[in-house]
Amino acid sequence: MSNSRQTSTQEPPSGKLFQFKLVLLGESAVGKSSLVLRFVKDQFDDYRESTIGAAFLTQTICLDDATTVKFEIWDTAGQERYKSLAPMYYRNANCAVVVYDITQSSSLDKAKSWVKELQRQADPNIVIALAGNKSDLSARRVIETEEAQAYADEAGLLFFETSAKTATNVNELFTSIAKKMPLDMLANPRPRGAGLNPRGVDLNRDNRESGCAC
Amino acid sequence: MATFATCTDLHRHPSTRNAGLAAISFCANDNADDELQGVPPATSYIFGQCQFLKSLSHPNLCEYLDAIKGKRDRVFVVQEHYSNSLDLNRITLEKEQESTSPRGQSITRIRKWAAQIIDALIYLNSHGIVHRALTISNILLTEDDFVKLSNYGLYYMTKGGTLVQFSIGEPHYLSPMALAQPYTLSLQDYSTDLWSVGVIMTELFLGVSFWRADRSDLDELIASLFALRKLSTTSNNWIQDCSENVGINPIVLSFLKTGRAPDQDRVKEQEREQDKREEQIQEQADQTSKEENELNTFICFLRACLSLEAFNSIEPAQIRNHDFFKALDVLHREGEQATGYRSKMWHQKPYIQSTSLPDYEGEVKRLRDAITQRRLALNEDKGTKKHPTKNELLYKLPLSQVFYLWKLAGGDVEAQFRRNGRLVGTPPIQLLPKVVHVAETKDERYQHHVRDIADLFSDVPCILPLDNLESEILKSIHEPNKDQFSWDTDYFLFSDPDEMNFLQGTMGDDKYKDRGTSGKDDDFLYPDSMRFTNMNVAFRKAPASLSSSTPSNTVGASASGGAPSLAQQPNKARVKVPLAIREKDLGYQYQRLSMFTDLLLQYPASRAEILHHSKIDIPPLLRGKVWAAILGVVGDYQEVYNGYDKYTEKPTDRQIELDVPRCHQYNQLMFSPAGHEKMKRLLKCWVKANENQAYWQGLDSCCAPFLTLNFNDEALAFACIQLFLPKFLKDMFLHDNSQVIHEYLAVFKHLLSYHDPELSSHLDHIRFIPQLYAIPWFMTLFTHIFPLDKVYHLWDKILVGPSSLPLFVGIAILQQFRQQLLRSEFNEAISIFSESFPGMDIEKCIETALAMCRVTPPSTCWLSYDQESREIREQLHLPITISTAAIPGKVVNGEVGGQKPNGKEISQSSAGPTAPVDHNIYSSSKASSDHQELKRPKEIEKRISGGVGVLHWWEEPLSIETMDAELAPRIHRSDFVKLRQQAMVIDIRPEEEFCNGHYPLSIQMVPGQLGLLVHILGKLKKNYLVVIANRGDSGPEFASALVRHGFSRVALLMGGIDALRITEPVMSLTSNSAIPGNQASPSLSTVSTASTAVTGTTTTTIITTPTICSCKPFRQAITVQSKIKDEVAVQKCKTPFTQKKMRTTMAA
Repeated sequence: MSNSRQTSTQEPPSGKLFQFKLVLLGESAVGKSSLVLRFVKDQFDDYRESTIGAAFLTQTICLDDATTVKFEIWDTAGQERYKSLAPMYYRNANCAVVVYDITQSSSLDKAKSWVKELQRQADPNIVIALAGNKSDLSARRVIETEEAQAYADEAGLLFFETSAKTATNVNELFTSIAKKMPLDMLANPRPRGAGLNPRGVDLNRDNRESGCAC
Repeated sequence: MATFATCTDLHRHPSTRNAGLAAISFCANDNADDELQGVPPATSYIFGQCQFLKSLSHPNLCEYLDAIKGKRDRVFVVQEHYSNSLDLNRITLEKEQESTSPRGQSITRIRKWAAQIIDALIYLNSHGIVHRALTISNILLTEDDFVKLSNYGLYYMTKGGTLVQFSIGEPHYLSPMALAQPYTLSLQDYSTDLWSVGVIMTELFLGVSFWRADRSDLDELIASLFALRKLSTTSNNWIQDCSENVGINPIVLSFLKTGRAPDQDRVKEQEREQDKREEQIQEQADQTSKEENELNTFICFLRACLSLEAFNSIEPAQIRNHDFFKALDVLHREGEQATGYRSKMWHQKPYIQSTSLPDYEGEVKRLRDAITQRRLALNEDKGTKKHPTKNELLYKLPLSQVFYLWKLAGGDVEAQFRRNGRLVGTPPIQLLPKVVHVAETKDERYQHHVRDIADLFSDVPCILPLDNLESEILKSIHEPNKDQFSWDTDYFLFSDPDEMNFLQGTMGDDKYKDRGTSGKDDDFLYPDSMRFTNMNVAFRKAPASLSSSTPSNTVGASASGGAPSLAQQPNKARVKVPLAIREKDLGYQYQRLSMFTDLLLQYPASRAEILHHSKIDIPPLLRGKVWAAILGVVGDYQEVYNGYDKYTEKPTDRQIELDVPRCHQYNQLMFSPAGHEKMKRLLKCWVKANENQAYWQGLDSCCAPFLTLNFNDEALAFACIQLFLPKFLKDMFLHDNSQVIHEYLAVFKHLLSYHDPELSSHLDHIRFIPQLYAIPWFMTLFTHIFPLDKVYHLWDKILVGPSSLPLFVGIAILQQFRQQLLRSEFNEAISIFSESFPGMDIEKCIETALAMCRVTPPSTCWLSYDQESREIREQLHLPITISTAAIPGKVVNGEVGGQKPNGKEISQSSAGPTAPVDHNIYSSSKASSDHQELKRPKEIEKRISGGVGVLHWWEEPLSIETMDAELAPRIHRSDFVKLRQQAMVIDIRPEEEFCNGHYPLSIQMVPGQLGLLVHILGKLKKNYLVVIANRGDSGPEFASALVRHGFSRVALLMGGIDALRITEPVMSLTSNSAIPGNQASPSLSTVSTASTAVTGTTTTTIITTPTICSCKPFRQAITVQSKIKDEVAVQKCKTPFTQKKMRTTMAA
C-alpha cells in the first residue's frame, strides 16, 4: 500500500525517523481529503467521495539528511453530526491541520471552533496549522488572507493558503508542521523499522482499559 | 391491483410488433473549458435527459431505449425503429405512379395519420416536451400503417440544441416563429410543431414540396422563413397576404388561398374511377358535395396548423377537436378500441392475474420447432419467395429486453456504426451552417478536440440488426453444456450434512407467510455450498451431477397460492457457474428475464416466488423492480412520494448540496445533472419523511443504488429506501446513533472472534479496532467503499438474507486480507483499508459471508436495537399469561425482576415497567443491579408492561461495556438446543454443583486448568464450544481465554446453568427460594398441556431435551423424572474433569 514517493523518501540509510500523528479537521467539503490526497499521492480528484468516520494515510518527508518525519494522517468526516467521533481521532495527535474554504465564510468560523476544541481537549503540546484551501478559486474568495492570517497569529497557529487542486502550498504546509515539531525534545527518536515512537501515535491507548483483563 | 402491472418496461405493446432497433449518433459540445468552472459536460446532461425519455410510452411514439456515451463527446441514442416512413411511403407511391405528375394521398389516410401524430404530440406536450424536429422522414409507419414518431427527444435532450454545434430540426419543416427562439420560450410553445404538421400534411395531400426552394437549399429556405416571419408580424392573415416572392411553392400557396387543389379535377376523376363499382350517378353528386365538405374542413385544419399569428396560435391539444377529425372519431373509434391502439385504454387496463405462468420450456420448444420448420420450408422454396424470419420470440419481449439481449449477444452500437461506415465521412443531410468555435486555449490537452463539423450529426438512423438474435437465443438455451444454468434449480442447495444450517427455517418473511409459503421454509434457506473449516474457508466443490434435469414448470402453480415447489430436489448438487458468466449468458438471461417479468407482473401475489428465485441471482435489467418486490413495496407508492414536501428549504439542504455532487460520480447516472436533481429530491424527501432521524453523510451513498436502478421512478426508489433502512440500518441515522453503532461494532468483534480467533486476537493486539475502519462499512452497508457494480451484487444477497448478513460480509472482507493483516502492524493494517478494495472479489466475499452466517447461531448477532432479533426473542416467549399476578415470584405482571447474585431475589409485585434490570451479571457482579445504562427498547418495554411475554434475566441486552470487555459472543438456549449434538459443552461450575446435576454431555473444567488442557480440547474437534457457568461466575473470562487460545466458535450460554434449569417459563414463576435450582416444578403433564397452547417452539423442544432431566431440580421433582427417565440417562459424575475422563467422553 505504500507508494513510490514514500519509499523513496524513506531510503536515506542514516538519520532518525520521527513519527507523528496528524489529524485533519474542518467543515464538510472544504477539501480535507483532497489535501491529504495531494500530499500523499500527488493526485487530485474533482469528485472525491465524502469521508465517513475517518480515513487513514501515511506520508514521509525528509527534513534534512539526518531527519525523516513520518506523518500518520487521520482524515476525519466534516459533517457536524460526526463530531462525537472526533475525539477518538484527535486523541494523542501531535499535530493538527484545521482546514477552511476561502470561498465559504462559515467554514472559517467552524475552523475557529475546532481550534478552540483542540486547544482545550487535545494534547497541550499539539501543533496546529490553519489551512485556507481552494486558493485556486480566488474569483469566489470571501475570506481575505489578512483576516485569516490575523486570526492565526493571534491563536498561535501556522497558516497557509493552499490549493489541493493546483498543489499550491500543500507540501509547504506539511513541511513547516514537521519543522515546528519539537524534534529535539524527543528523547528517543525511533530507529527505522522499530516499534512505535514513545511519543507517537499510540492512538488507542485510552481504549486499552476496555480490553479483557484475562 | 398488481403493483407493477402497468409498468411499461414489462409490457410489449401490440403495435410494436414489427419494431426494429436503430440508433442515431451525434457529437455534443466540447465544453471542457466550462467544466473547469464546475459546469457538467454536455454529454452528461444529455445522458441524464435521455433517462426521462426512456420512460415515455405512447403507441404513436418510438420508445427510447438507451443512451450511450462514446468517446470524444459522442452520444449514441437507441430507439425503436420501423423501416417505413411517410417519406419513403411517398417516394414509393411516386415511383409506382405511372404519370409524371405528382399525386397526393387521400384525405382519409391523411386524417388518420394527422390524428395519430397530434395524439403523440399531445402526449409529449403533457410531459413538457416539444418535438421541434418533426419532419416527413422521422414519422415512421408500422406495417399496419400506424404512425410512430421517432427522434422526438433530440431537442429536449440537447437543451434546445444549445449543447450541440448543429441546429435541431430541418428548416424545410421548421416554423418561421421557431427561428432564433430561445430555448426557455420554445419549451412553452407547443404550437411550433403544428406548423410542421401543416407543412407535412399539405405536401402529402398535394404531392409537391411546400417550399419553392429545394430541401437542401438552405440559404433560400432561411430567407423564405424570415420573410414569412416578417410578414406574420404585419399581417393578420399571412396566407391571404402572402405573395409568391416569399418562396412558398405557388401550387401550395394557391391551394391554401383558394381551398382548391390545382389538380382537384384529376383527383375527383380518379376517385370517381374507384367508385365506379357503385355506378350511381345520383349518389355521386352527394359524394361530390361530401368531398367538398371534407376538403373544406381539411383546408381549415391546414390553415389552423399553419397560422403564425400570435392571437390565433393553437396547440395540439386544441386542434385535436377540430372538425377535420370528427369524421375519424365517428368512423374509426370503434376500430381503434378493438385493436387497443389508444394509449389510455392500454395504460389503464388492469392486469388480470393469470392462474399459471407461461410454460417456458414448452414455448421455447414450440418456437424452435416452428423456426426449424420455417427454415426447412425456406430451403425448399429457395429462390421463389423471400420470407423474412418472423421473430416470434422477440415480439413478446419488451423492447428494452430485446435491446439488452441484443447487447448480450455481442451487439455493440458503436461498432455497428463503424461497420456501416457511419462514423466517418460526411452526413447525407446538410444542416444549417454554423461556425465551429475552436477554443483558443494554450492548453494542449484541448487541441485534439478540433474536429470536422461534418460528422457532428446525421439523422439517418443506423439499424441494429436483430435477424439472428432469436436463433442465437434459442441456440444458447439449448446448448447442452449450459444445462447447469437451469433457472429453477437451486445449485446452492447442496448442503453439508456435518454442519448446522441456522438459516434453515428462519428465512421466510412473516408478512407473506400466509401467501403460499406456509410450511415450506426450505425455500428460504441458503443452501450450503461450502464448508467452513477452521479459519480458512475451503470451497468444497459440489459433485458435478449434471443430469439433464428438466427445468420444472412449477412456477405457475405456486403463483396462484400453492407452495413453491421449486426446491423439491434439495439434494441435487450443481456446479456453480460464476455470476459474472451467468450475467453474460444470453440464453440464461433470456429465461431469467422472461420469468421475472411474469413474476413481477403478478407481484405482490408472486412475492414468495420472487424471493426464492432472487436467491440464485437477479437479472440486472430488472434489478430495480425485483429489489422493490423483495423489500415488499406495495400500494400507491407514487402517491406517498408526491405527498412529501421536497421543496421547502431545510437546514440539512446545505450538507445535501455538498454531498450529492461527490456521491458515486464515476457512475454516469449519478454524474448527470438529472441525477443530482433526483438525488437531492430523494434525500430531501427522506429527511421530511423521517423527522425522528437525521441526514448523516453516507445516507446519500445508501440511496444511490436505489436511485440508479429506478432512475425514472423516484417514488419507487424512495419506497425501497423507506423499507430498506429500517431493516438493515435500523436506527443508524438517529440524531444520536453512537450507541447503535457501538453495539453493532461490538457484535461484529464478537463474531470475528467466533469465526477467526487468530485474526481477531492479532487485530486486538495491534489495537486495530473496528471503530477505526468499519464505521463506513456498516453505516452505508458497504456502498461507501465499493463501486456500485459491486454493491449491486452484494446487496442482491443482503436483501434476501437475514439482517445479520452485513456483519459477516465485514468479516469476509477482513478474511480476504487475512494473511496481509496477520503480518501487519497497525500502520500497515490500516493502510490496507484506506483504499476502496480494488482487488476485492465480491462473489467470494458473499459466499464466505453466507457460509459463516449459516453456521452461526443467530442469537450471537442479537442487537438490542434490532427489530428482527427482538421479534425472535419475543416469539420465544409467546403467550405466558397463566395466572402470573397471583404468584409472587420472579415475574409478576409480566415484569422481570432482577435476581441478585448473592441469591436473594427481588420480588417485584407492582407493575412498574422500568424495573431495574441486571444487564451485567457476569463481569461486575457486585454492582450489577445498578447497571441501567442500556435503555431497554420501547417495544420490549411495552410488551412487558402489556404482559405479553417475559424475558429471562439473561435475555436482556448486555451493556455495551460488557460486550466490549468480552471476546466470545453469547448464545441463547434455543440455539444451544440446535447445536448441542455438535458441541463440546464445558461446565466451569464448582465440582459439587456439577455433581449435583449437569447437562449430560458436558465436561467439567476448572478455569485455572485451561492452559494444561488446551491441547486435549483441540483434539476433540467439535464444531462448537459452549461454556456453561453460574451467574456472576468467570464464564466470560473463560470463554475469552478459549478464544485467545485460538478456538473458533466459542460461545457462552446465555444465563449459564440457569438457562438449562428453565424448562418452561411457567415453572420459574413458582420459584420461592433464592437458591439456584431449588425450584419446584409442576408435573410434566401440566407442562405438556401448557406447551400445546404455546405457539413458540422452544417449550416443546425443551421438554424433549435431556437438559431438564439431568439438572438437580428434577432429581427432586420425582414425578417429572420418573416420567421421562426412560428417554434420557441421568448423568452423574463424581470426579471432576480429568484427562482420563476426557478419554472416556471421547470414546463415548
